[in-house]
Amino acid sequence: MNTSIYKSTLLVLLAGVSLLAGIAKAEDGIVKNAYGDYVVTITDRNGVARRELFIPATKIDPAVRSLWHLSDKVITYRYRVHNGSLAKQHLNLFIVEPVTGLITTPPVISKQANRRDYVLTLIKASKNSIQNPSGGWDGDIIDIPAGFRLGWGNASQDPALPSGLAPGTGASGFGYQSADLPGIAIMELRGDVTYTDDTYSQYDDPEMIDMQTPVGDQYQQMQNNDFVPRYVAAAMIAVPVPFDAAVLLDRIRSQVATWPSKQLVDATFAAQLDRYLLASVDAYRLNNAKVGKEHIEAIRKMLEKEHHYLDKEDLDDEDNEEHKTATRFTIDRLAARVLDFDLKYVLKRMKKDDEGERERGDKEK
Amino acid sequence: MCVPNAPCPIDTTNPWTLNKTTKLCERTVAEVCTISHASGSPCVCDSGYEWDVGHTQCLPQETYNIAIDQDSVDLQPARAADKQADTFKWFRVKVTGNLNGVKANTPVTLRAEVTANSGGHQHDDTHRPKGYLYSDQANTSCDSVQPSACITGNTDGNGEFLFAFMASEVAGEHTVTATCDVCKSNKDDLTIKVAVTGLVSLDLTSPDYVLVGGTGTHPAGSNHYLMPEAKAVIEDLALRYREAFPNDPLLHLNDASLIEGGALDICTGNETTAGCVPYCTLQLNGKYTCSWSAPHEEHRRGKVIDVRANNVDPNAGNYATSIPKDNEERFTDIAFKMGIRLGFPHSQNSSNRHWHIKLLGVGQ
Repeated sequence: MNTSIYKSTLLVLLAGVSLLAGIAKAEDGIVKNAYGDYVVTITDRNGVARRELFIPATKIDPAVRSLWHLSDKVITYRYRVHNGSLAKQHLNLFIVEPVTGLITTPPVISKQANRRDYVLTLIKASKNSIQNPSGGWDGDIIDIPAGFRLGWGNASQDPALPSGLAPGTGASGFGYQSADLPGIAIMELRGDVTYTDDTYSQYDDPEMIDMQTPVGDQYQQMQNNDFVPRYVAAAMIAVPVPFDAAVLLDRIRSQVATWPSKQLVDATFAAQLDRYLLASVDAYRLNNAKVGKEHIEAIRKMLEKEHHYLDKEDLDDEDNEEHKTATRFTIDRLAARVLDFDLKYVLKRMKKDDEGERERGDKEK
Repeated sequence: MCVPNAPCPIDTTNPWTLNKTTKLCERTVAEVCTISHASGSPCVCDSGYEWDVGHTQCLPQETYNIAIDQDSVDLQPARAADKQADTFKWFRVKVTGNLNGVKANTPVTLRAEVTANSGGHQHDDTHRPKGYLYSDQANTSCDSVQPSACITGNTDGNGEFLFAFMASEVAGEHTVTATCDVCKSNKDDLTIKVAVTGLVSLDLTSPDYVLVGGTGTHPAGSNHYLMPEAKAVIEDLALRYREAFPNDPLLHLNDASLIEGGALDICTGNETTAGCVPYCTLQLNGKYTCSWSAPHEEHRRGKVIDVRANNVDPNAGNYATSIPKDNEERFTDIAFKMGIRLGFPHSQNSSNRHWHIKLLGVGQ
């Protein structure tokens, strides 16, 4: 074979390399149309431009209230979800993660058990222990490495009919119980997307879309991020057994340390919180409960200064006008409520332990 | 020339002398010329020696060896790796002589072959991709069907020939053989396993799902390989679906990946464009066979599986074993809660309608 043939071979090879590297064709791209949907164009290996329509599930206007209260070491968490009147889709699906310390019936068995038995337990626990409002909502427990993901969905039997919360409506009663204290988690909410036959006929089969291209990557990202996020309170701080205030405060401190990056607290205020939390941890470690308590009270005062009525009622999460006027921007109100609740819990437990010890001491006398 | 009964060759600088006892031409150095005066047979150099260019003396014989710097490597199929760097590797071939060391500027040939029916493909033909050989030192190809599967070129001043092997999209066992003309019978083989490793098969029988989609080229039992974590996801999804709809058919799971991943070249025989050349051939009906091409763009790494969902064509045989229309939204809800992002079904409005499930949130 002569040199020119070999050169053509190299060209074929290099073309292959280009394909592997996912070189985008000039006409490839993602364009938003007048309806807020996206037309994805990716040229396939035969040189044919393939088009797919992506309707985002983010045409919702969600507002979520987190409610929780403590009763005998069990914390009941509830969410009230509202889909704003400007939404263009029904809100029919949302998940929250991570959630830990779930209290269920039957109790969740060890992950080390047979996988199928484990998942069956989760399914049964979902049916018995995840609270749903009326109107066709289903709650599910999914295991994830960091604990559990809880999801609520509303499915209609006719895919052509929208399901879930219509624009301007809401529902409460999404809930669960946990032994763990609240932290701040992200809730991902989705709208109901309906594709019509007309949609299908105008676009190509997704089977033909080559995702291993720059535009394909972009498209994949869009699919993965196809939700509206909201911060919520969720069970995620385990209470040590036996109770140890220093350990629990250290866990609370770790949770608070994640907040600046979530823009829930400004860096200066976060540094102040951390100093007091650390001092409190150290005090409890040295069995100096009095000083530990003083530091906790100092933090609570700081929070109260930023947001009024934090300690009035755990179930009250309404951002009413009075609350809003008292809201400062050093720390998000939900984050302040969560931290205040967690710190109050530590104080309550310490008080109970003190009383218990005194009682035991009296009896011994 | 050293011929029977002839006098010893004339060499004024290092003269030959006839040993009266052994009847051999001898010189002061180690070279020995055997002259069989008695039998009259031709004069030959002893083993390990050869005539010089002028055929005037026996010199120690030079033998050449060709060697690739590695015996075996593992690569991943193209378009099935996290990093492109995992799909190719550079190698060094060296030609050396036993006397003068490296052999510069000598022609070498590298040929790639692929073992038939390897990589989970129960089919084979001349168009099966053998991988791509590439070298800056190469100047010709030696394979007319797949030019990049065989290259020749000359060693450099160090007696070396640097080449790369790039995996094709198809998994399988490959052998690259290096040869050179002066190396006589010497050759060296490099074994390259092109595979996505660590894939495991779904259980052939399960209370929660039914496997479908085996074909003659990729028989039942060979098309449901997944990464272990992806396997756990589809098993969970199937179980959750079954629990949600205990009276309906189980999920029917179609193609996932082959045992070693890579292109899952389902063949419909309906390709009408030549984009698959050279891995397809034009048939008399004007269509191209699509063997070794990959209509399944994303079934290469054990992270994707298809779930039968023909609820649009009641006349098709798979209608009764598909996800019914009434169950579909609950099915997609469960999937989303599990972290699976579904777009809309593939092959919509046809009996092949199915959910293409990216079990770990990404394609491939």
